[in-house]
Amino acid sequence: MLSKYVIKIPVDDKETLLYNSITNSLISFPTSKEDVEIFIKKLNQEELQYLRKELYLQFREIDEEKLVKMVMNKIKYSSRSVSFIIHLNYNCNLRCVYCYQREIKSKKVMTEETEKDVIKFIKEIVKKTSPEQIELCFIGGEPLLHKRKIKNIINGISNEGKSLKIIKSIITNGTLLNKKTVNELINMKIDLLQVTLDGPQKIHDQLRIGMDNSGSYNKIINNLEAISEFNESINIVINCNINLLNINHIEELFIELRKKRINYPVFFSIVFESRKNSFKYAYKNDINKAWLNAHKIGLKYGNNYVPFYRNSYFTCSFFRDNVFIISPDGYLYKCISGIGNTQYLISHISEYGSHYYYSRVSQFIEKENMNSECTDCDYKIICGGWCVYKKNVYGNICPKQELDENDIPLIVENYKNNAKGNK
Amino acid sequence: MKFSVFNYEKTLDNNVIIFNTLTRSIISIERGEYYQLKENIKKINYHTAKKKYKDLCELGFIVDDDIDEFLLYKYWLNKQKWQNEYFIVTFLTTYNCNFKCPYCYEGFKKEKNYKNMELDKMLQFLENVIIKSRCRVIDFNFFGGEPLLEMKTIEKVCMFLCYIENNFEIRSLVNIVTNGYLIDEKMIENFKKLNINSFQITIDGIERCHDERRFLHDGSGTFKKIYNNLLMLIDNGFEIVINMNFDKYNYRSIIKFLDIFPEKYRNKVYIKFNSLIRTENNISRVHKLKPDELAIIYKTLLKSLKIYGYNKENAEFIGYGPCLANRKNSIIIEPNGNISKCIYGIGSDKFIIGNIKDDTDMILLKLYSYDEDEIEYEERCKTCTFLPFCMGGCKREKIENKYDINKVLCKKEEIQNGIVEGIIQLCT
Repeated sequence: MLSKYVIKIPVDDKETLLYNSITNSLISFPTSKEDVEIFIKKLNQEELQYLRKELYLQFREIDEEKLVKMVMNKIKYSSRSVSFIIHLNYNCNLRCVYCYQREIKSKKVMTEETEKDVIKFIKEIVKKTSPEQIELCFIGGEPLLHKRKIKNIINGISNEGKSLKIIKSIITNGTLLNKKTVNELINMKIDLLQVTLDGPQKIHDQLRIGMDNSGSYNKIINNLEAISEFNESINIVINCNINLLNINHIEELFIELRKKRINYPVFFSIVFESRKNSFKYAYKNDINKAWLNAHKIGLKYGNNYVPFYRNSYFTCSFFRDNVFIISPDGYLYKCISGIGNTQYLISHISEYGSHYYYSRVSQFIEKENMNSECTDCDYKIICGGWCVYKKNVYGNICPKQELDENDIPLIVENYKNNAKGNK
Repeated sequence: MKFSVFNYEKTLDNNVIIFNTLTRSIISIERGEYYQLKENIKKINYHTAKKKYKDLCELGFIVDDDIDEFLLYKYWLNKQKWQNEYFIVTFLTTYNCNFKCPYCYEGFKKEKNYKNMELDKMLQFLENVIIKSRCRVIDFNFFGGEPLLEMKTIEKVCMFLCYIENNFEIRSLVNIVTNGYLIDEKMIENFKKLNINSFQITIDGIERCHDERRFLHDGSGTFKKIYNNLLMLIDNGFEIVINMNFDKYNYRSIIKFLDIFPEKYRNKVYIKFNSLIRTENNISRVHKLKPDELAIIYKTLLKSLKIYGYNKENAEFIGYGPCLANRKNSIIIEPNGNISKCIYGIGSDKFIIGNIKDDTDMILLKLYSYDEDEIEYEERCKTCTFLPFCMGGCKREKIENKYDINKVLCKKEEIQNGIVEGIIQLCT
């Protein structure tokens, strides 16, 4: 009998995918979904061993409930990799209409003193937890308005641990990526830039507006074109924020990118309504098949998507002891969408390690997020009870239908797309 | 702000002593000041508290109003369960022993025809597991039987630990749990060469009492030799824990020992009091103490530490945090290569998770999945002051008494009257 955390996803009546939700691995079975168990019974020892290695399956040697709990707890407390999401500022050179930070009135910028506190904080964590790698993600507002701060922080911790791997990324609107800045970022050895494009020009410029009410599309595209043309050695991914205005124009974006020979991978996020958000094109609770449809287009243009890459217990910061979200004034929060919101506030970074800090962080990490219905759910490990931020806005929601209609079919589509390519 | 649920209060003369069972901090506040604070605590906010009541905040005596301390307790417990800085190995070097203590929970009628594992295989297994655990320190404990009967094995393991340190930058802390009888000067020189850090030696009272309980196969006493060896070890700079197994018949002798032990050495040793463990192997030879008897004896023993000027730090070692079985990065290796989780359950397959011959990945999966039974705390537990000591109760004890392992085994009275009151005696 297959373990519960291995999800059977039918491709058609002759092929089924087995997805291991613990290890994120996928294997194809040449049989219908109903016949998977029969098929496994017919396998010989060698084939079973192969399955065991490939899919990390175990056949009831370990009590499954314990295994699932163990995996979920390991994610919470394991310190193999520690992430720091550092908000350098709230100010920005754009005024995107849906920005979740619009509610933050005071456009703080990180002071020099806080920079030093951040460096000290990171060093302390590294010393305490000895991770294999740390991830530094710089975000804002628009973080490239303060390049010096990025440099200072990176330089401040670059001597920590000879074998420590430091992955550096920046989330940027892309308008400031001129040649000079790109060179500076390459010198800083930035591993990844995430740039947002919300559709073809006529759509993007309605959403991501400059200070003078102009659009930002041309500036961004020109920058990306230049980087692409000169084959600059920096990795870029494009993020597209799906909403009701652009959902039917996604393909046009890809066509325009292809015309300009901009071939960076494209990922997506969903703009959903938050309590005070008055963005009329935000998705409310029901996204229908928007997520699936947007990604299908991405697949068509050569992209590859890891299952549940945006929305899963595995990637969320709320329940992880090893993810630190820092605000420009040096406070620790437990949710990116909730930055600046006291509901998600832990303490100041200088209070890390104090009893006060532990008393506060425990309220998030040990929060009961699942209910009795979750016990037998196939998506338990993936969902983990679902996004606390969204639940605080919409009330208790179960994402089963959303996952069934979007993420699961996307796994099949992604698989078929890869199969086509792998000849 | 509010007072922590983990505060245990005790009035002593004109002061109120507060002991916090989670942080293990202890503080004394003048009575009047304390009751005034109690009245006004709700009006104080965190920033005021941070300035005016810095110690009370930092030591966990007062917390923010919206803190659910049950979640804090769970976080405290889980952080320790999952810590991977130290990987703890308890290695049963042999079941053989030169003593024949009647109360031994390992029983001396054990089968001797188990097959000993090959040491090399064990060391290979250890290397794999240690590296995969990503620990920084190996906390290695030689156990037994009597480990000093197998010095060659100890030497080989110590060489292995040296190899690990040189190649993987993982250092070791090496401890030997021994009856202390076989030690001599030559061995001590060897211990130094092998970088042994510490010893745990058992003494059950002064000579007459100790010799009634801890003797060689021919019945002869062992106290004199052990005592001399103990002093030699201390003089040679090793860290020492004196383990003292007690029941209602020897605790007074234990106190006498604390009295005769040279003053100059009293702050150089740690004292551990262990109530005799009853398992299926020794149940007929160990008297069962009633909970209130146990509590009074334990408190009296802790009080004696204070009376005879032993280190207050002894209090830190009293049952702090989860036991070895509940720590993820802890294994016990039996002589036949079986890997167990519970030191008092060795030999019983209820606690065995595998063998050194098994695939490393599978062992780690089983190791980390052990003790993921969720304890169903009762409502009263969620605000119980003694939760950080209780932690739901001992799994082995529940299994042996056919108690539901998912339910709490409450020992509130023993904890309060024995441990907490005892710690307060020791530290005030």
